[in-house]
Formats: sequence, C-alpha cells, structure tokens
Amino acid sequence: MAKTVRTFLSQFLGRIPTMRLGVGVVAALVLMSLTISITYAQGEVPTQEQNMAGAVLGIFLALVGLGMLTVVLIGFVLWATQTKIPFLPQGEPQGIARYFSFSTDHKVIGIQYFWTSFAFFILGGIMALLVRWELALPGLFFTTTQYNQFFTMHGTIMIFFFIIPMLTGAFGNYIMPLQIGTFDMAFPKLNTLSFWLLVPGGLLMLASYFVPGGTAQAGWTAYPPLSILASKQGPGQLLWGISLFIAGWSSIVGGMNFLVTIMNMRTKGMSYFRMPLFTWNIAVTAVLQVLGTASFAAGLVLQVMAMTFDFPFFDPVRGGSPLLWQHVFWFYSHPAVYIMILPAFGIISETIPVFSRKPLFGYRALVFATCGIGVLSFVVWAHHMFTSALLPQLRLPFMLTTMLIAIPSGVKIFNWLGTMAFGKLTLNTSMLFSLALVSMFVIGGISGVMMGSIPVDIHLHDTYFVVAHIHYVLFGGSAFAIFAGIYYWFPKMFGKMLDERMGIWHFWLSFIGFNLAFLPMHAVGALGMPRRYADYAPEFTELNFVITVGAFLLGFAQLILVANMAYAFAKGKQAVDNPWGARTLEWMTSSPPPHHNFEEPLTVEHDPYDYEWNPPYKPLPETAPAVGD
Amino acid sequence: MDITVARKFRANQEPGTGISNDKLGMWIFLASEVIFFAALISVVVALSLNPNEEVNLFREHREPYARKAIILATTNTFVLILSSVFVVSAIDAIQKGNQRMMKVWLWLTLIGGAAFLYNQGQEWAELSHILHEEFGFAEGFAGGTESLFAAAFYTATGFHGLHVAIGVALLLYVLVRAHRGDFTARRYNAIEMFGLYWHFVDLVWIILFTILYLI
Repeated sequence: MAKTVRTFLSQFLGRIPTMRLGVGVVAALVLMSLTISITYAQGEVPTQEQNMAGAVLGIFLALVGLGMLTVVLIGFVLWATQTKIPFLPQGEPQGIARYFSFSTDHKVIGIQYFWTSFAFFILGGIMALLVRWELALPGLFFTTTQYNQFFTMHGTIMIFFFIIPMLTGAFGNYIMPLQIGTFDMAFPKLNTLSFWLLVPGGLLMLASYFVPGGTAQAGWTAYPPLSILASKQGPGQLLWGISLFIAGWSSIVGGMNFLVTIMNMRTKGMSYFRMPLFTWNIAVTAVLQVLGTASFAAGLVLQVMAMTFDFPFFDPVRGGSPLLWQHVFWFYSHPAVYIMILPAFGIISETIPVFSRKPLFGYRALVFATCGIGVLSFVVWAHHMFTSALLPQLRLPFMLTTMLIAIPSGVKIFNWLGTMAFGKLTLNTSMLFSLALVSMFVIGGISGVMMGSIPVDIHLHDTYFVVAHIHYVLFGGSAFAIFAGIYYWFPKMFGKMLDERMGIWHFWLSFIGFNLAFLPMHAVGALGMPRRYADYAPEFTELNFVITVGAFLLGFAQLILVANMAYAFAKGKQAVDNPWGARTLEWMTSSPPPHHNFEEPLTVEHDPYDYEWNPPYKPLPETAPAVGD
Repeated sequence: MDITVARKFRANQEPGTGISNDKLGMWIFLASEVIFFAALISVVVALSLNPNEEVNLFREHREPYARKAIILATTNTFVLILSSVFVVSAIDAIQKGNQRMMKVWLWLTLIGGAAFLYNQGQEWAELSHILHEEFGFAEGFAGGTESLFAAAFYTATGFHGLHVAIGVALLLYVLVRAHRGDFTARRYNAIEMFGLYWHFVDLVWIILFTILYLI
C-alpha cells in the first residue's frame, strides 16, 4: 500500500509532466464545480441534512482539488529546478500494480480502460433494471424524480462511460497498435492522460448522486429548459455537465493519438489498404471524436454558463433560444452514434472473415463505406429535431442525407454476407455475437430509416419506438460487437481462453432477453406510449411486463459473462499465440504480447484477410478450439 | 520506453505522412479547437440574428460599448498579432543558432500575451460599466444575466482569454527550457509547437474581434 502511494507520488512529482497538466485541469474543474455545490448547499435546497451532506462533500472534494493543485505546483518547481527526490521509487511498476499506475504502455492502458468501462457497464445496467422495475406495472414505485435520474444516468453512463471508452479506449488502444505492427502509440503519455481524465470524469458523474437534490435528471440529451430547471434543484445537473466536459477531453486526446499513430507509425509494408478493417474504423472514429466532441464541449460550456451565472442563452424571453443547444449538441451527438457503431463494425469485420475462413468480401468497398459514413454523419444532425420547430424547408435536405447513410450501411451488411457466403462457418460465441449484430443492426437500421422520413417521425418522435431503435443499434449493434470482441480478443489481452459453453449460454440468453425487451417497444411506441414518463396508461401493461422480464433476463445473462471471465482467470485454458488462426498482426506475437509488442519489427507482405496465402505463418495450432478444418 | 527498441521499430516503418508526430498531433488538436470556437462563434452569430425584435437587444447593447472600446480592442488585436510575429522571430533566431535573441523574442512574446490579458480585463470592466451606465444593469459579471450580448461576450472572449492564459503558461515552460539551454539550431520543437498554438489563438481573436466589434 505504502509502496503504491509512493509510486503514485513519484509519478505525479517527477516523471510525467503531461499527467501534471491533466491533473491541474481536473483539479481546477473539480474545485470549480464543488465550490458551486457548497454555494448551493448554503442556499435554498430541500432539507437541512442534505445541506450538511452537500457542504461536507463539497469542502472535502474542494480540499482534494486544492491538494492536487499543490502537488502540480510542487511538481513544476521540482522540474524547473531539476531537483530529484531520493526516497521515491523509480521505474515502471510490475505485476498488478501496473494497472493502478500512470503506465504509458498502450496495453496496460487498454486493460485499464477495459475494466473501468466494464464496471460502468454493470452500473449502467443496474440503472436500466431500476427503470424497468418502475415500468413493470402501472403506478409509481419510485418517485418521479428518482425515475428521471435513473434513465438519465443509464443513458449517460452507457454512452459516455461504457460504449465509447470500451470500443475506442479498450479495444482501440490495445488492438490497433498491434494490428499496424508498431511498438506503442505515437504519444504514450497523452494516452495515459486520456485514461486518467476518464476516471475523475466518471467519479464526478457518480459523485453527483451524493449532492443535495441528487444527480442529473434531464435525460442524456439535457435539453434546456429541462436542464436549466433541473439545475435549480441542486448542483447534480451541473456536475453532469462538468463530468462530460472532462470525459470529452479524454475522447479528444485519445482520438488525436489514434490518428497520428495510424498515419505515422505503421510498420513496413502496412500500406493504408492493407490495414485491417478494425484499424480503418478506429481511424474514421478518431476523426469524428476529434471534430465532433469539440462542438459538444462548446455546448456544455454554454449550459454550464447558463446554469451557474444564469446567462440567457437558452431563455427566449431574454433573447436566447433553446434550439441553440439542440443544434450544437446533435452536431456532436449524431457523429457520436457513429463513434459508437463504427468500431463495432470494425470488430465484426475481423471476426466474420476469421470464422468464415474466407477473405473479407469487398475490402475496399468496406473502407470507402466507412469513410462515407464518417463524412455523412456530420450533415444529418437536424433529423433529431424534425418536431423541434425547425425551419420546415430545412427538414427535407436532412431527411435526404439521413436516408443516404443507409447506402454505405447497406454496403457493409452485404459485404459481411458476401464474406460468409460459401464460407466454412464456425459458430462459436464470438461469431454468434457477430451474426447477432448483422441481423439486429438491420432491424435497428431500418427503423432508423423509417424515423428519418418526416411524416413517420412526426408520429413516432419521443415515443418508445425511438427507445427501441436506439437499443437495437446500441445494444444489438455496439454491445453485441463488444461481446464479440471480448470473446475474440480476450485470449490476446489476458492470455486465457474464455469458456465456450458458458459463452454460448451468455449469447443465447442475451439474444433472447434482448429481443424480448426491445422488440415489444416498437409496438408500444407505435401505439403512442411516450418515453421518459414514470407511469403509463393501463392498456400498455402486458407489453411492458414482457419488456421488464426481457430486461431482467438480459441483465442476468451478463452475470454469465462476469462468471466466465472470473473462471478464465482462475482455471481458464492458457491461450496460444493465434487460437483462431487469424491473419492480422495482433496474432503474430505472444498472448499477451511482450512489452514492445513484437520481438522484432515485422514487414508485411500480404493483405490482412488473405487465407490462401501461407508461408511465413505457423500452421493452425492443434489446440485451436472448433476452428474450421 | 527503451530508446533503442523505439529506434529499431521506427527504422522499419512505412513512410507515413512525412510530418513529425508532434506537429501532426498539434494540427489535429488545433482542428478540434477550430470546431470548438466555430461552435461558440456560430452561437454568438445566431443569437445576434434573432428575428424577434422585441427580445433581440443584442445590437442595442453592443452599440455603445463597441463605439467606446474599439480603440482599446484594436490596440489589443495589434498587440496579439505582434506577439505572434515575435514567436516567428524567436524561431528564426534559434534556426540561426542565436540563443540570446531567441530568449529576447520569447520574453517579448510573453509580455505581449500578458498585456493582451490585462487589456482584456480592462475591456470586461468597461463593458460592465457601460451596461450599468446606459441600461442600468447590475455591475460586473452579473450584467450577463440581463444582456444577451454581455453573456455572449463574456463567454466567447472568456474562453479565448483562457486559451491565451494557457498559452502564457506553456510559454513559461518553453522559457524555462530556453534558459536551461535545451534548444539548438536543430532542436527547437517545443518553440515551434507553441508557435502553432499561439498563431491559432491569434487567428481566433481576429475572427472574434470582427464579430464582436466590427460587423
């Protein structure tokens, strides 16, 4: 324990200036947000006890912020005067301690991201089950405020602290540098910073539960005036904004790092059109992260200003406009849905050829489709606002661009089908989840096109149909791909095989629970049940009960995944270097890879999915479980 | 990171973009910043264009301020552009191996940045003062709650000012290294990176100045 603390201190004080910069930024923001929560605590808030709790928490965290700033300043002075502190340990920590340090190794950071976002996945899942508990039967179980907080935090946590960090942070960080055959990221220290910004961001989000008035309750979209009204009940809504601002920084820094790495650090022979599809998708995602998130940050700045200083940006009486936020927000958040789905497409573009034992069908078409989606994603945002008093003449162009996105998405679907056609399919867990993505994403995609057409959207807007759509693309798409990725890359990341039998159970229960939960939502939505209400008309009771049963089944299925991972660590089979007989570079090194990824730099002489091409690779290992032949 | 391993891997790379990692990263980061300010600036423009004349007092509130503060603001713009030129001169000096002049130019840049921040503070005081005199709004930052123009002005120039302040902090770091003798005619990456950032901050101010004072 004392050693860990000393390692932390030494890294703060002496070794990584970038960390000090980040810690300084976070400290300043934490200080700011908590000074404000103290101010709230002294003002008009519900009860005396809550005032005290808020004040104590505020003062405590403000002191933490102050302490961090002091450490930063001391660190700067030590650096400027080149003083060394003798008693602090030097060098990288080893073993488990690595995962609690500011390691700059992209593999360590990938695993840090993995467990952090997995923890948030569990938390967000519990929130979802609480929402479903309330909606199982008509009538109120929780208070309406509690209900609002549950669905707000469910959406926020799942999007910003599970899917995005899991896909780009965990898999992007761990797998992408391996796939292009490099030894680390372009900016290892910024990579560290990117992860360690996510942690305070997430903690601040959770801390917002403990301030007077509770956490944010304006939905993950936080439309004003809802968000401004919520901020009058306590600082939770404000902490929400500041937390996402910090998480946004993490995303921007990460994206920039990915782009530079991919553009500048590919190993010899790895031309752009030999990069595996996952790396291509990470590259396009990184562009979206870098460009889109900044717009979101600007929007959050406006919200925070409007909440803290009562600036009239969103108040029509004083000349502002609530639509401002919607434009700025969706300019980020539409690309954000592609930040969440493109790496998922990347993952299954890896698994499908491997488990079909065939080259990827239409490699270039898939690459161009990915780029096309990236470009189009910036010009469709107003389709979220068809009913928001958008200029009517503007609706049509946005409807057309929205429908255009179906074309590159369709290209992808058909290319995956083409890859599987006449292939030798291996239906293991990873492949099953990939197939689930292909089929479920088609449903989600088609309901997306439906809502993209203006007359249908006017009827369906803000009903459960939208909830069904988002879950078909984000759970049926992104989360299923994450599971496919976990089963596919877990041997590489942790050196242990996951158990296939448990995996199959996990898949089928997830798949059935998922469809039980989200398919009926289309019906209740089309029948007119609005979303985000804690109660509903009695005629929706049966379907809602089915949805709740499905949701709990889905939640239970995830416990199998947890058990499977625990079992793998305790008794799992040791993974060989290339258990799936794949051709991409991450499998050309040991499992898990050594510190510099590869013993010797590689030179690539083939395409990533070239299954006819044999020589320098070892034959398929004998122990490969259930792979073809 | 073991330097020899890194060197071995770097020797076996595709040509890439031909731009160094640092510079490429800086450009990408600045692209992100461009979107941030583009969003803020388009919000300011959108607010000023509200067609509802009853509530759109953006121009009315701006008029007396812009008339009075234009001279200070123009001077300030000039100061910032000048300090951008100083950075270029510093890079030019170190390229010729002239350590002394490089330090002089960097210090002048610092003075430029600090002067800009000071003047910006003056402008904020001026705005709050004028709004109080002309329209009877509350003094200080609170004026922003009553005037959309003041709110937009404080937010946009505030975040630009924050970027200038961060630039000054970065410059302090560069200066410490300059006095330590870290830079040579071949190695002056940090100055160049700082220069890119500083030019960007300068450019944003020119657009903000046009929008807040001129049109």
